Amino acid sequence: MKDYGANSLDMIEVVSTSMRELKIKVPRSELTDINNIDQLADKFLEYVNKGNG
Amino acid sequence: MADKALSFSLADFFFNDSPDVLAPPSDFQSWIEHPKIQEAMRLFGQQLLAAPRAGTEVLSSLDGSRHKVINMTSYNYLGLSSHPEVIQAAKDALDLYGMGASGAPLLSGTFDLHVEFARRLAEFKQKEDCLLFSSGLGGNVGAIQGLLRKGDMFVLDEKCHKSLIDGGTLSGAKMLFFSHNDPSSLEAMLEKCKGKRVLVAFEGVYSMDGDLVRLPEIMKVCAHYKAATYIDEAHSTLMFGPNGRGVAEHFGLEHEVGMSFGTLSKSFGGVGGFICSNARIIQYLKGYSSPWNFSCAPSPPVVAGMMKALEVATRDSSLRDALWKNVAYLKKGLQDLKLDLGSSESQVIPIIIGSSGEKLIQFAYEIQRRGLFLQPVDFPAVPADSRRFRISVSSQFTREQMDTALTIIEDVIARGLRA
Repeated sequence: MKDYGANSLDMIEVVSTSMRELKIKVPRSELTDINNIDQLADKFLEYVNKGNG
Repeated sequence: MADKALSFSLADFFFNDSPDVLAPPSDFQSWIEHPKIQEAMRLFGQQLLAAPRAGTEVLSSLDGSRHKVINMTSYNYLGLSSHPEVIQAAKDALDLYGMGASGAPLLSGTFDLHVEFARRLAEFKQKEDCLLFSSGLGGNVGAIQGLLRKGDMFVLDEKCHKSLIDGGTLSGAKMLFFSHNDPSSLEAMLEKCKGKRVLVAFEGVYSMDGDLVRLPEIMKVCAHYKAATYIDEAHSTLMFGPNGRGVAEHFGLEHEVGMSFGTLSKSFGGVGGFICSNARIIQYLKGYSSPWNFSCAPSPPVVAGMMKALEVATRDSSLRDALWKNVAYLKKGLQDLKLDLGSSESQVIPIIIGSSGEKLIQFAYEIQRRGLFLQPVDFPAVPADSRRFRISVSSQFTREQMDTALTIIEDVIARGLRA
């Protein structure tokens, strides 16, 4: 997301509001290795398919 | 949530989804009441029952009773919070001026003490003028919020303190973070700021790792882009440099750095903050720095005590010499234990234990049971794979206290990590 001009605070906002919308809760500690939006989307999908966190 | 409580942290509840604004997020309560989280949380906010000297007493969370401890957590780096001359100066001012300033600085809150202390701090930092704040956080927030506006650019090292980030948020400036201490990353950020007003902020000593700003390289990049510079010397004032003026003096660059921030709560041993810069911008900030002009001026006894602390710490080098001697001794002892001390170059020495939050808490309790007050630092304050203990070295440690502490650290942390 840095490539799109987002700083770390912007990223928290995007990630948190997305999780709120998707009604999932992914621990922040599981997001530390995520480097791009594709990986983030995959992680979200994993939790949506699991039926929430 | 209950079975996964340990994989969550305070970082996960920042956005509140409760419809009632006066209620925390729905799952926050069940998380914080989980026994494992309760056990960890009990370590924080333990009450000290005496001055934060090298040897003090805490009301321990181990059993709710008084414990005598060796204190390696307080920021009382030079022992000034309980120095007899500092205490006497504060007492004298208390008799003369009373407890509070009873007013904002522009109306009735400015006493002769404030003016004199600000003058001495400016002289000490080799700048034209100084603004005193009632809190350290308020100083950083007030400086940044007062200097920058929407449309401006604020470029910070990614490890900068929350107070700088909060100041940036409040200012409305766009914030860009450069990779820690990385001049080429800074350069990439400054490329994006061309044509804008820009301020670059960094710290003298980074508080979680104890490493120093790579000031010559960073200043070179800033000079190339004609960016204004701001140094936070919270953990370095009175300790670094031939005259104790800080890391900027240590590198011989104090005249090049545009604005210098310091806190009064660490080496000074009191509470408050200050910024030093050219007289014109300090005068301007008096109109626009909210934590200064909308807050009661610092308490007179605190100001008098801090003025004495400045005098005691700078009349000779004995306190900082004692500090650096202790830093060298402890660091050698810790290195002999083959512990991961990160990149520490200062009196802040982390002992990085890795990713296990459970080990961190287990070690923390065991360390305290053995008589050492050394607090853990957990995610999200530090990265999840480098949870740590953080030693704050004091000039007041005796050799015996350091040897005892090293034995405890060896028994609990070094052996625990090998197990």
